[in-house]
Amino acid sequence: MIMSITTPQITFSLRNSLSELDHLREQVALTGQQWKLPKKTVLQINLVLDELFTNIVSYGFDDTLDHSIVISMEYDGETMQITMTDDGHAFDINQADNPELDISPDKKDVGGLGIFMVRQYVDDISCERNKGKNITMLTKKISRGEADDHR
Amino acid sequence: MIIDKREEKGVVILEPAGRLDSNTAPVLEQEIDSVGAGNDGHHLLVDFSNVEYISSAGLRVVLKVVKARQTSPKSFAVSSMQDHVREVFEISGFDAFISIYPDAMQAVVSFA
Repeated sequence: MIMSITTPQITFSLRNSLSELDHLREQVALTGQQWKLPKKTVLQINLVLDELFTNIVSYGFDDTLDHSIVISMEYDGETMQITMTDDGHAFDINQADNPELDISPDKKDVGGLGIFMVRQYVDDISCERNKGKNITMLTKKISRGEADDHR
Repeated sequence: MIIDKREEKGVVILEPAGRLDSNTAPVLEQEIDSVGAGNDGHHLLVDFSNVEYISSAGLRVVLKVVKARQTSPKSFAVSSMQDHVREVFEISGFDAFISIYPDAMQAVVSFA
């Protein structure tokens, strides 16, 4: 999609360590302030990025080297486009199963819960693999009602 | 993550403060594991008053407690959720199998 040159964009990068979740929170909070997003939307975007980032850090790499996960956000006042790029193992979120929530004590822990939550909070997800990198693109509509709720 | 721990009427109340994500969830998990679920153990309440954010890593800890206590004489409940936390519980379907109370007092009474 061709975005207008005036569409504001914010890009930041995280190391592949769970301790970077604090950095992620700060960046999303700053973005929310800058774009005057409602608190609820900020928490939802934080959650979506948290789940994807945690997946990449937990399962994306076999080595012990530092890797960068780059997150870029664009917002035209109605729709947010988020792109996440990592050089971990090939992973397509659209191929992942939703969890089966079974609370029987003998059942194993559910997987896929994070992916399920990502699906609840965004409107569209697409993935591609290019030159050894996963590029995950998310679209989230920010409703006007929510935007007016800004505080 | 700082977790306040107190006991009321035979109920151990854990009150974590801050954000419950994959970085901090193991701290809560460890604290929960230290509360016995057997006959000589305690009922357990996790009070979410001071939790502003929860991810699936936090939910997974909660799910583990539910499973562990299904065959236990000691029950488990949660209380005092902020809007975002409540929404995550609902959207993931967890509210279907977990007792959620508006405040800690009502939860404690429910164990009696």
